Amino acid sequence: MMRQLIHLVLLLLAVLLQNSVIDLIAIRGACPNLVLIYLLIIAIREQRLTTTVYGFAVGLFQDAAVSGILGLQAFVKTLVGFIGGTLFSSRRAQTWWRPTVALFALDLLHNVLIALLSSFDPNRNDLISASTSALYTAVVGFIVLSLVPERVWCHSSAFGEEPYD
Amino acid sequence: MSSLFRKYAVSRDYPVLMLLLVVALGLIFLANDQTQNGPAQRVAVDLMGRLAVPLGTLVELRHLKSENEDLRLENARLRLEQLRLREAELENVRLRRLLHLDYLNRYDALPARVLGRNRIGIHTLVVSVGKSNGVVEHMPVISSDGLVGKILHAGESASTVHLLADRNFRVAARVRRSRAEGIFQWLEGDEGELAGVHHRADVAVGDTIVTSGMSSIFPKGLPVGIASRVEIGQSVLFQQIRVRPTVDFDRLEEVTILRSGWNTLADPFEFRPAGF
Repeated sequence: MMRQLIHLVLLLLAVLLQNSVIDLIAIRGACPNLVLIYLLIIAIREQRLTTTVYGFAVGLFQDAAVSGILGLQAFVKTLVGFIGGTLFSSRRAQTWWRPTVALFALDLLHNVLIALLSSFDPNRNDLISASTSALYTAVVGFIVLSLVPERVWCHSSAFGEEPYD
Repeated sequence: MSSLFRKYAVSRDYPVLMLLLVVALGLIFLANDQTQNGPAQRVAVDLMGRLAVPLGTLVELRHLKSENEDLRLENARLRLEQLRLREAELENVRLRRLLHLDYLNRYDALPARVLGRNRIGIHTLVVSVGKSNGVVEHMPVISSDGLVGKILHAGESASTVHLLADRNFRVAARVRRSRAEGIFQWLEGDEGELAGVHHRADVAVGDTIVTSGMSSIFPKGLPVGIASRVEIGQSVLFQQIRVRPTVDFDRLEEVTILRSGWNTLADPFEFRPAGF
């Protein structure tokens, strides 16, 4: 229960940082997605269902607080959370590149879906923008995960829980 | 295939995923057509606002220094721009006053640049036009503010202008408001007087004095000056009216010479410079 609370607080912090100070590290408009990075950490540590629910919850909060289109972020982050949970739900050993590549793919998917559901315009270079941000997210995610203690790289069973699948 | 279906069917994940996606889609299609935010949305926005303020301040502090430098540079640039525009504005006002296009079109006016001044003896100006431009002696010279004088000598390409601000200069004038007539002449200092105005004539301080048209040289209605002091003695026949000229003779840069037709006008004009 305490861990769930910590996840919630840290997700809220990620949303706060994402919507306030992220501009400090923006490169040509591309920003890393801190919320997605933490969602991936949850995916690594928790079960797939938990990640999916967290994705929905944090997406809904972002919708209500900053997004403007209620349900948009909730929809996309639910999907992304589910896919992330699926990617890290197996007992396969984690390698350094796996979360990084996953982050890139997930953020790319996230950005494209958001753009498609809001107003995707290929002439506006939405795809390039989405890819750039996804790459940036992957890089930052890699750095963050490198700083996280090694036990996080292990599956949730390392915390005394059995993986769901 | 059936084992795969069974595997996913018994999983809790998919029903929950479907439920959450349906809820999210429902929100997208149903909750966004409201004109006002719901209470949950207001709470979220408020929470976000309260928590983000300190972090936002950090960002602002980071940008403050560079923004300050940018603003300093911008300020310096705008100051220079303002000076340049002010100069252009003054020039524009002066030239527009000088031109009075409508008026000039009717009176064949010739613009001229002031080349020099003479304040010793007869007060004159040297202007940049002469006989080659059709200028002859006695032509009236005006500026945007009123009567300047008349052509004293016309050279081939330059002329001298006898200034109103000379003791030897006389011009028939009248009070624009009451039409009281007199003769304007220059006194010592920076004022002239309207002499020969009957002591019963209606003249007040602030009245505009214009040329009367009685002269064969100057057209009617050219501003000469403003009555600055009016004295009516008990035992004298004429009023003593001091007149401050409308033209600043020390700052003249351009003048206009009324070249032809000026002394045969059937319907004299009322020349009103700015401010009168």
